[in-house]
Amino acid sequence: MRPLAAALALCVAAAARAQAPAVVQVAAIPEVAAIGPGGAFRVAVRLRVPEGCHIGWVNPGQSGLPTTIAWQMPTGVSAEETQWPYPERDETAGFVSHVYRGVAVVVTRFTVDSSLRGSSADLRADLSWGLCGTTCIPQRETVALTLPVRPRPAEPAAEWRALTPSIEALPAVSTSLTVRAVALGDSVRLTIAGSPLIVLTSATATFFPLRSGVAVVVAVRRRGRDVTLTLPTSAVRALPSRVAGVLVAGRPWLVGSRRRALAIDAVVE
Amino acid sequence: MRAALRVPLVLAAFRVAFASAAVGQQQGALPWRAGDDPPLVAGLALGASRTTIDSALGQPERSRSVGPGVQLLGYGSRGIALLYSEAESLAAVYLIAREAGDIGGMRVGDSGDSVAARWGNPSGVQDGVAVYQVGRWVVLVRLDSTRSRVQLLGLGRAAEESAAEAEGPFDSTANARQDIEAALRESRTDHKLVLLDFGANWCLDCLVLDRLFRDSTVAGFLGANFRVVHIDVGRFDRNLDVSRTYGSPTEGGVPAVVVLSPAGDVVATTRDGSLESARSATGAQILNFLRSWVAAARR
Repeated sequence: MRPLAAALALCVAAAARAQAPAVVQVAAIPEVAAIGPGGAFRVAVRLRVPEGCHIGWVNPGQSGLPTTIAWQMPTGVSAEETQWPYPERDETAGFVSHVYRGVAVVVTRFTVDSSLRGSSADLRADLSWGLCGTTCIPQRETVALTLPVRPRPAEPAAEWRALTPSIEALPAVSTSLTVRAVALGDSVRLTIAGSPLIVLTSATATFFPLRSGVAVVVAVRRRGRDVTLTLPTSAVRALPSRVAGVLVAGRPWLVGSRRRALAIDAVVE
Repeated sequence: MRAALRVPLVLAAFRVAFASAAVGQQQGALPWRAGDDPPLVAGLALGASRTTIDSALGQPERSRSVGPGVQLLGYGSRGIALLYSEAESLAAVYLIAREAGDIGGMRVGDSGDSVAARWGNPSGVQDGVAVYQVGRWVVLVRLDSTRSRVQLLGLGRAAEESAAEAEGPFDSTANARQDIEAALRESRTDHKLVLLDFGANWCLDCLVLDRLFRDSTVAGFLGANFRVVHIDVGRFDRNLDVSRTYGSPTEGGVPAVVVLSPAGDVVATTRDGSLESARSATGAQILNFLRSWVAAARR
């Protein structure tokens, strides 16, 4: 891990100026201790945000910079879409931001094909974010890991198991539910349908739009097995033909699940 | 508009310093205007599908994933590399050999001076690559290690600023030094202080401070005693030279404020962290800061 290029932000209090600079601590944690052709594995990147500070989600809202990650891998290893944990909705002085505080665990799944050569594979993630506390500063960091290549996949690493709660909470498209989006004048009605297992009892949910726009808190209504909610155009304006984002409720959506965040990606009818 | 690729970190792969100093102040001009379609490069248009690419260049000789859904495709024998995104198809074309073709008449191997003479100064330099922005697309130029010859030419989509960066009091197109000079010139007549407000539209505390400046308890005193110049630091890639001129108040982050006398002398600076509580400050507290700066100027 190389040092941060710019790590000068001071976050906790004005007095912190005299203390060590605040930095986001970054660590890459592989799911397995070794990889092999024909397999798949995940790598988590854990971001520890200093107390009193926050960084932005992929869509930071009305302020902040998006947190980004770009992987570099050897031939034979391919990255799939990164899963981002859902953010907090922060409203300060009338500005709505989508932020991470504390620890955020970002997960990317990789596949390995037979063209992978050598006894080990080097992976590197270049990350960037804007760290805001009492002042704001853009920062970058690179994390790298080397995984041995073995014919048989290795057991999950112990450190990975400790991340299980964070990984289970990642927003995901539920295979048990279907989502339908219908345009209604200046809003879009989402219907989440079909599963007898749905147990959502939250009266409200927060929709975080993926690309642009700001998070909105909307009422959730039960209709038989379905739930419906209406998103104002402020939350979907950038993608009028498509609704993409994360819907976070106060309780899990399904029986037996800890997942409070559903990934939504629906064509608007 | 920020001069950056949609996949800006890919540029990190091209780490040779662009000799911006060698370019100097050149009078050349780009052969394109904002709104023009990007030129074909190696016979390909930005946004071309993989089928079109394969038809034009054949199968890539090398392929490397550089991010989720993004691949760098290499055609070494042709001196061409492509950035291909599942979401946007052909996102960038890089020429790495002279025979690969040209962009706007320039080729790999041409002198850096000839680029500057022909195209003028770049919009910016990012990760050692000169970026010429033409509306929603950019031309990239990297020089070799001797900083004399073009080693790489590229054409790519420009990044769109996030909504947070595009809207707000900090104008990415403003010329900060000219704005400061103009403010000082006027202040020599009416003796107002010049308040340099370093910040960025993505910075929450900068937006809050700007809002406080417009608060009814502050605006009157501010307008009567100060001339405010907003200076956009972007993602700390803009106007940092201006910040250095005034003692690098942005070193610890933004917002940062420097107060100048009409003669251009620094009267006060927040480099000491005095504005760090801006987010939770009240108009009255900001007013106290302003009063203290006026008092300091009179001493």
